[in-house]
Amino acid sequence: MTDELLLQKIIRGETQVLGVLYKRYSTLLFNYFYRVTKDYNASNDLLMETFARIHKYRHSYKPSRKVRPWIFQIGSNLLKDHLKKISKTISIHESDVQQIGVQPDRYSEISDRQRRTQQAMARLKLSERNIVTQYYLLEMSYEAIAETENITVNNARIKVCRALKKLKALLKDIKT
Amino acid sequence: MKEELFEKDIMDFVDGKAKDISNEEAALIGHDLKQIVYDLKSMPLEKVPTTTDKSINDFIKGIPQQKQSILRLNKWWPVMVAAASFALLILVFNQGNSLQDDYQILASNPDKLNFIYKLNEKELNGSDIAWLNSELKKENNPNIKVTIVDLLNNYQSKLDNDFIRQLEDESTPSVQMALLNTLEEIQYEDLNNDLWAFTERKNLDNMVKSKASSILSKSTN
Amino acid sequence: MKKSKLLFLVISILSYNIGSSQIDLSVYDDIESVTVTSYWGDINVIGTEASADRVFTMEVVHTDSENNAVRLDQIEGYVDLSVENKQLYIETRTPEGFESIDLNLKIPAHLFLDLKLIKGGNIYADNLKNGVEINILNGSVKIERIGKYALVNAANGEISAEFENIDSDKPVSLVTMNGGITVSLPGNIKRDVRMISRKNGYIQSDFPLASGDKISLNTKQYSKTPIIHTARINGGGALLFLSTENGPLSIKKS
Repeated sequence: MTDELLLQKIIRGETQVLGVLYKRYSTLLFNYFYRVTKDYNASNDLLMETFARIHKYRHSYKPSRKVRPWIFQIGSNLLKDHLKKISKTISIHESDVQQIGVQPDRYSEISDRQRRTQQAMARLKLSERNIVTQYYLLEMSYEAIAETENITVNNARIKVCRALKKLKALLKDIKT
Repeated sequence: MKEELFEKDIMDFVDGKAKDISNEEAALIGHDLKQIVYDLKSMPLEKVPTTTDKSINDFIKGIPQQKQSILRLNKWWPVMVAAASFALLILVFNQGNSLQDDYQILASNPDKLNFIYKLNEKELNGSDIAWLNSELKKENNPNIKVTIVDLLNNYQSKLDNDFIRQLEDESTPSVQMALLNTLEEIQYEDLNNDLWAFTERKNLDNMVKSKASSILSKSTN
Repeated sequence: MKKSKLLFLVISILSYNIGSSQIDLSVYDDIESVTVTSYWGDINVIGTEASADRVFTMEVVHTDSENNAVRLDQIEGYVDLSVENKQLYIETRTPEGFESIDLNLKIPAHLFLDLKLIKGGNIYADNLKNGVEINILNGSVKIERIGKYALVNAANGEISAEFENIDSDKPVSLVTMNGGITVSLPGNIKRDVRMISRKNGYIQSDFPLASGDKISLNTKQYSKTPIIHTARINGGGALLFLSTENGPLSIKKS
């Protein structure tokens, strides 16, 4: 059953169907939150709040839209609010950079290059990391990113490009 | 402008919209970025903790199911839906009811408070938020005001100077505190000047003054 | 002479016969609500049944800057009474120096009560069936056996509220800055609950709270971080809004 049909069911009152949407999107959303915030607990909270809001705002969903970007937009907006709260206090230490984004027992599953890429991601600004993760993990279009970040589509493309270029520059500094 | 076009070419290549880039420098960068995106995309995904799964399931179970409406789908159903939608459209168009119209007919404070709280279930647009800001200014009842601020807190990225200026006119401590809590999260650039003036007010509640001062000291650090 | 002033004069004369400490307000038999505005002093309001001996009375106690408390026989100059649109307005004078005026009211239980305490004092209200709206600056609020709905706003003071026969579609909003909030509800109540405690709070509930959030319940451990949750009691219904900057939230079954 398509996401759109699932959401129509939820709107009509078959709320148990929300569990199906959860199964489809929870992993991606959780990883989105976790890869940006590096905070397991916050990621859990954001995930739960996203689905609470999907249910709360179900009537605001416009059938002309695809559900997937709508869900991601709800998650991104929540993350944006969360990042505003923590932006002045968060700091990432060098020792964290080594393993950020990958739980220790998964560390051996990734290549050296991937590991360095993750370390470089950790050195991006929160806003840069957020926009890059929206782009590569959630595969949000520039239009969707622009709407979430309240910028133009062109700006969204430029920001993604510059964040990726910064990653490229950071990778040169990170030792193998 | 040139750089923006340069970056657009790179991203078109990274996105697979362009097979090649004529500019050699852009091509080098494009290939590197494509590799970076590939590495990022192929990172293993973390599993969602089972406790979170359980919490969501509990939440979903707690939502009351509504009975399905008995809809007999037949060959005339699309026609009926279209006709009903058209009739509704005419009704809505003729009525022109906005949230504001619906709210203004409410006479009692409990009805107004209920109405405001139920707006948490809707997605509000810019004009709704502007209307809520004006209601916040006009409203006398502090419980309704606190509910409006709590609602507007969901739209922090859409709040503007109208919201900041609410503090200038507000004299009820609990509403002042609700405004300060939201303003603290929004972190407006111009907030400091308004807050300085606010902390100088006579007869300001100590707790409110302390909150405003703490926001100021965080922003100047 | 204004009608209200004439009535006041009549009441003052009559009150002498009833008992010098109680002002008889029974002449106001065609009102729907009582609005009280006071500056300093306690306000106690008891809802009386029609069968009661004295259904509608007011007692005024004035305390001066020397802490001398006197029950007033004559309230003119201290408390003003007026009627407009079936609402009885009771207003104490603007304080002269430090003084407080306590009001002890017995009013018909079916009247709606609107209370405003501008400076400080404690508020107690009992057995009012048509709802209350209370706005207080400094002092605690205790309301019991309240029907229909309640909107209570305080700055510095705790709120304790007990409801019976509450309207299923009317909200309850209890907001304070500095103090805990305790609310007692009938066991079969259905409510959407919005709970905010920004500091030194915990949530205690006799009701299971259904929520998408993880809510730590009944821990009695004061949290240093804000506790902000939305939940449902018995499937949800009208709003129960509990908000404090500093203090715990307790939801009890009455």
